[in-house]
Amino acid sequence: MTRVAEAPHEATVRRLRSWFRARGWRPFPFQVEVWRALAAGQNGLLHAPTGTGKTLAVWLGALARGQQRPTAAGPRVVWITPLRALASDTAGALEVPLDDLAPWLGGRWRVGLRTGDTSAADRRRLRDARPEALVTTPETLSVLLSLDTAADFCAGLETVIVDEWHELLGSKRGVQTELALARLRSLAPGLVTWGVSATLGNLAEAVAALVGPAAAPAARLVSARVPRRLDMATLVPEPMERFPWAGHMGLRLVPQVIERIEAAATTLVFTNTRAQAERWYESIARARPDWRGRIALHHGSIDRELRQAAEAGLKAGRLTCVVATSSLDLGVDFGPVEQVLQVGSPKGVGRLLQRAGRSGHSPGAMSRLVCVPTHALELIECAAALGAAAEGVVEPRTPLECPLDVLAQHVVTVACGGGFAADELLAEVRSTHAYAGLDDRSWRWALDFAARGGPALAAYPDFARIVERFGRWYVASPAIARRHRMSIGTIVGDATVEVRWLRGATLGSVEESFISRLAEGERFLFAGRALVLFRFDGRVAWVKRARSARGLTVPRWNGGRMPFTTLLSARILDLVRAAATPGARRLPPEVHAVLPLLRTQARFSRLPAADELLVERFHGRDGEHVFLYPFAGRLVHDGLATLVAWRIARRKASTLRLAVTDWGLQVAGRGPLPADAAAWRRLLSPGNLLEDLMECLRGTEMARIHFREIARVAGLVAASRRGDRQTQASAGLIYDVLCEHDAGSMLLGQVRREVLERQFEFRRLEEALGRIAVMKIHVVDTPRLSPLAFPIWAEHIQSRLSTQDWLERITAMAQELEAAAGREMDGAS
Amino acid sequence: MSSLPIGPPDSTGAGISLLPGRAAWLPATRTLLAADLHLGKAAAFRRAGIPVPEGTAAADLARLRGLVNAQEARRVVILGDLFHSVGGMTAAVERQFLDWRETLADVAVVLVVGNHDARLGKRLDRLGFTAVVERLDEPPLRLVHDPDSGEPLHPGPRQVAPGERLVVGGHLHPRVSLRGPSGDRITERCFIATAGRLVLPAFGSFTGGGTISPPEGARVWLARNEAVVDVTRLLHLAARGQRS
Repeated sequence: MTRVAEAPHEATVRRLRSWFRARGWRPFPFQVEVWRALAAGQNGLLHAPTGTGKTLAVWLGALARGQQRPTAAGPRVVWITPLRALASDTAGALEVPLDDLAPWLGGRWRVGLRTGDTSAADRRRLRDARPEALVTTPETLSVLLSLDTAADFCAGLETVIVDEWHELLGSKRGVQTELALARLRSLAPGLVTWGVSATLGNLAEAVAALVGPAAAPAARLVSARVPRRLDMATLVPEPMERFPWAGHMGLRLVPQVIERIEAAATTLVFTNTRAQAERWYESIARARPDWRGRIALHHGSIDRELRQAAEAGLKAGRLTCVVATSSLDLGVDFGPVEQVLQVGSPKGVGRLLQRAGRSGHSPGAMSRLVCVPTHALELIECAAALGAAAEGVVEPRTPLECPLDVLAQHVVTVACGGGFAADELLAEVRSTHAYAGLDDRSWRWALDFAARGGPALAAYPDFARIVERFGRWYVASPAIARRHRMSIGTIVGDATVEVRWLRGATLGSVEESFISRLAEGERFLFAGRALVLFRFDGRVAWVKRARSARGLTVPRWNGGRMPFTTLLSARILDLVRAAATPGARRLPPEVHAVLPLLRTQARFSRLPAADELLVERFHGRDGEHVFLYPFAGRLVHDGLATLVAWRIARRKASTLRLAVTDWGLQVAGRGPLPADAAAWRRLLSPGNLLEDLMECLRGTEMARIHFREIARVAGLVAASRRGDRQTQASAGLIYDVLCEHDAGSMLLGQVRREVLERQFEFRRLEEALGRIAVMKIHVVDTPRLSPLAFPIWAEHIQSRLSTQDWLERITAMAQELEAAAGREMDGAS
Repeated sequence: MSSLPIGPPDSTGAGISLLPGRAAWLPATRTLLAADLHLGKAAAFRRAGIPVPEGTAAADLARLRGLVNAQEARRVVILGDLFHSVGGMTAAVERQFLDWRETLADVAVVLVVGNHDARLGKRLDRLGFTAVVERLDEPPLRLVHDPDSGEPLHPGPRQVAPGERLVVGGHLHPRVSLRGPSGDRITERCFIATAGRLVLPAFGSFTGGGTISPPEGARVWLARNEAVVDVTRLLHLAARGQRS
């Protein structure tokens, strides 16, 4: 009898196929490919749209690998998920095949769950039980690595899987994960790493960040080619003439949106900001009081229990509609969702696809998404995003490089978790994509910072978080290790205040800056309810139900307004240009609808084009306004506006007001602003960019605000603890003290670099200036605000830049206030 | 156009001048008042493993000495919270304070004990104070640490009975925020006077403090090193502007 040579791991694949068959399924080719790769001990990344069986691909692959070595101690598989809320659902999904496969695996595998929510008792139980698989978050994994049992924890580890890798990539959490993975590889040689991701524009880089640059060339990149049907469109307002030129809420389209909701059994309404979500929920609830109990609101500031109730209702199909922010971008599949409505421009193709993918999960169903613009120009943004999605073009997510605060935190983590030899840890850290280019000086600084707080504290022998003994570094004391574990992580929320009913139940939390501006008795909208602030005692905002729901304030949460992507901006410019060229090609219906507005723009001013920069000057009652349209996204524009304002104000002490949108920026001042193209070319010169931006940061609050996060991550400010008031200080205060007494601190340097990147997308800003340098500059005087200028003007003033000294500033403010009061008096008489 | 009232000699109408640099001056007794230095706070942080740079205590003491010399003060009254904590009272901080005390040997230094100082107990005795007191009654003034001993900051204007004392204290680290019509915003430590009560800003540079909205009828002065600026009217105008 001749035996036919089997493909490698054929027995494994057969076993898994038969498990699929028993359930009436057939595995996709990509699933089989991942099983084989994992069984063969290869690293890799699987990318696929949501809801296509990615979990079963990597999980069964990990089991196939585990099956080869039946007797190792747990945990053998670590499953990292970015969302704490997702962890228990994931653990449930991993349980599914374990009963059936127990004989094959040589025993029933157990799945443990450890996140920041896990109680001390459960943690002890986990430690003793040592389940074969452990589901955890990046933060909790770092905590596990900071325990002196870290080496023991990794003893039986075979496979680590990072779920939703695209969510972590590009953030400090991603860097933290990279460092933790490198640590796991050192402690468990032979460890296999797999990631699961949505489709990205830079998959090769995503693989390198996941498995490390050295292992990247041999790693597998598996694409799940599963036909998923997508139906995406934009709600074009009618009549278009009455549709506003600016605005964030887009509530004019509520009736059309309600029609759409009526047409489907379950709808998910995504908004871009929490304030939008509150407004839309309130408007829908007001328009359809009969939907009471069948609609829900979901965003990150709402109390967890309320959010979970909404999620459960969605899963069970009890809800007609849920209004949500990115808080529902990720997470388990909500089967019943039939369609997704996207309020406001999706701002990116990846995000559009992610959100579209939240609908149509039942087999054979179609993902349906409708974009709902909030003002006229957003129609073009929607058209650009839908066009790119149809062609399958997606943005990259660029991983961060060398953030020193994360490194400083990691150094202490490893010191807590059994200690390290400096050169070994350096090699390990450099094996990651994030720190491959780490220079010796920065490494010494990070070590020094952990050991002595940096050069400025060299004279303080009593300060040390890590100490060297016989060539290895250890944590200085158990107390410092405890404090460190509590502050592990890179997510730093804004100072928030709990919102509670007078009766006691919690509604959620809002930014402190919002509540402290409200007077007692003032009414506001939160968690979908009209509330009256009864009392704010510094920690809790006590509220009552408001009688009337009219004229309510909506909290303004920081962040959440992301710029549109470079990919999108290029496509928007293409569409504008196509609109300007008669008969060039067939225009999408969205662009067709805004043609009258674009014609008005051409009449008042001119249409922007890719190879020229449009500069509009407008003289208003409150002074001179200049609008620029670089189409580079709001963050870059923020940087450009700051830079330009600073360069203007450097010559002549003044206070300039700035405003930005994704399309352009405004600089406004009382005095005259530069008038000709040559002057603007000088102001937009890429020369001295870094120095100039650094210089303007000095004068703004931005660095001070951003410092909070860096200080927390690097361990300068402890996560607040009760009963330890003596060492509580705001990061802002420490920032001031550092600036005054330790101006050379490398952390301040990082703050500036990071503010530049985070606040202004420095790399993109540099590119934008490079492009502008070779563009024609067109300066146009407009008789009134042009259609493109209007949305920027309507942003009101977002920031200001002043080169006047403090007394001049307050005198100017006094004059303005008196003048405003005088006008009021005139108006009254 | 308005001219801002900057640093009038008797700002409060009660024989008290507010000085640039977050201190107050009683000309009648040639007394300098300062509250909430929180010396040793930075040291307490370093002890807890939080790398805060040093130099704040020395800088604050030097600034206080500068004010004493400039005013030719005969007496300094610290309105509490001179020291931050027991843990922060390191040998270095103690030495800095004793050095400071020595250079001002001919000046009386009185400590009105604050909630933070109280924890130091007997250690206060060996620091060279002329007196350590709970409060100082010098009609018409009463110098204390906590100006309302447990009362919230927003009781509104109180009726002052004739002959009632003006309570002068610290403890609250008050700061206010001013917003102009074109969006400029200035947040600064301040002096606040309500009927019968004057609160000093924290003198120490490493001290926090929340932004407060001053009660109706309060007078408010921004306290900067370069000047003291009466912003009572500006706050009123700004608040009115925001309401409309």
